[in-house]
Amino acid sequence: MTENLPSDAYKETRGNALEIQFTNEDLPWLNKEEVKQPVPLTLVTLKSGSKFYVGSAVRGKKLKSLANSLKEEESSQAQRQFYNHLPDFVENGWSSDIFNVEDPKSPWATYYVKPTGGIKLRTFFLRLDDISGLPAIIKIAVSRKSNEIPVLKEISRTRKER
Amino acid sequence: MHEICQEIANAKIEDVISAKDFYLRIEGKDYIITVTSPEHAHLYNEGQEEQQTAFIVGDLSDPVKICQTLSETPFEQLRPFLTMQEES
Repeated sequence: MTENLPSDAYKETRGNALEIQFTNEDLPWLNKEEVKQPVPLTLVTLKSGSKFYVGSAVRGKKLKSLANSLKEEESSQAQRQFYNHLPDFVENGWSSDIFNVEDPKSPWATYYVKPTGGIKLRTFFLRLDDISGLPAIIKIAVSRKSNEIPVLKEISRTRKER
Repeated sequence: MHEICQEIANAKIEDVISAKDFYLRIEGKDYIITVTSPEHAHLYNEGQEEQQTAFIVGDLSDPVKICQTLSETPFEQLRPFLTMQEES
């Protein structure tokens, strides 16, 4: 399923372009069944002319359950926050509101968007640097801020003992 | 020291780390806290007290020192910056 992009941040020139087939090495928190479905990518063009791909791979029992526990307005808010932060991040490679996850399980750089101002939602994503010459942003989880550690325990080597 | 104090992520501005997130376990409960430097505090703390989201430490480079600072800070002082985590 392709992402529903907020149109105010981007030009309207976008369309389904590619699919990416991940392996279990790319997304080691998923089982073989969960990883085998390709991820459709949407080509996004920023107002500046920069382009990137975006896709969604929120999969796996735990991560889907956390995403599905959000109310509809929370999901929409998380989606808006995520896309509003992507232009600067894609163009500059950084944003003060985007945190790079330490010791991720995926070989791809793993991040989450954590907007300032008491925002209660987090969106986690991978950045792939070269998909047909363009960066690709793949959403892998979305949660309330009170569920950040459960997400990180899935996607990174955050300590697990309890 | 806290039962767990682990750096979990960092944010950068250009090549300079502007904030770090730490996973803390205090008296059996899990929390996340954002720490920032005095130079970058304005990016994370926006005026109103309820919007002060990052705890200021002197130096962001050494996670061991940051954990030591956090463990030496009274819980009541840390509390506004802590995000309690649900059981996982």
